[in-house]
Amino acid sequence: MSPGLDLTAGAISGIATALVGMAGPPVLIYLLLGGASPRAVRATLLSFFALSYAATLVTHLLTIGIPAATWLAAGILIPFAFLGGFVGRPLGDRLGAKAFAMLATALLTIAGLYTLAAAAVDLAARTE
Amino acid sequence: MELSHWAGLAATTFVAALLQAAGGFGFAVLAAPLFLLFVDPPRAIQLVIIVTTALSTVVLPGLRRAIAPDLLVRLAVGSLAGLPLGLIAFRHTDPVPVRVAVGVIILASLCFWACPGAVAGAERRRRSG
Repeated sequence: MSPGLDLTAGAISGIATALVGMAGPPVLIYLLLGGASPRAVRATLLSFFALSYAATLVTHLLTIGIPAATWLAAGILIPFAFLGGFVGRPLGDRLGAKAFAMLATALLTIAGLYTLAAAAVDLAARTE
Repeated sequence: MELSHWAGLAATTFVAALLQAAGGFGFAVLAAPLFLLFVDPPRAIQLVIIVTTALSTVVLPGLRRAIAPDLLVRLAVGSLAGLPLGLIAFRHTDPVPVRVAVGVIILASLCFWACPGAVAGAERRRRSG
């Protein structure tokens, strides 16, 4: 890992966000290949998401707007997210390097397969 | 919206938040496609954005010491620079091959990281062949 590579990984993440709506995989892969510790990977990813999603939220508010019904639905769902967060955080703290690697592998596999499936759905819709 | 839809949204939110809090990543990957089963795409995307932002407020405080500020700033600056490039590419490229390429890159990078033995073996075979 180096400052130049950090910037490049961030740039690839920005490009991926615009192209396929996924900011996480490029940064996660970069941190894993760089040998960062599981705790550092989690903390860096979560803070990176906090910044990028907060910026996206402001952009939506200022441009297309967010309907009251969506705020209401979010208000109903946020307590469930907090509950998941409170359960998941100590689990993450206790994850060993091997278990963390398995979780990261599973999440990246889902992300990769989901992206391919979305492409297949797009293609099928075109050929109909 | 039906009660069963709300139950589906709530269960998806809980599991996706648990994954994100434990692993640092995964809320959008899991929630976005499942939310689409219950609400229309614009609302699904905005729900993911709002709920992820809210989730950060409860998950981040305990991890503050593990954050590398310089690394975070460089990633954020790089991302800001990459975003307009991606938007330009989005306008001028076909999304299907782009998605296929991104999916393949994610899986190939994963293999490179998770199966170094397999990669080294392939490299040895390539050199000897």
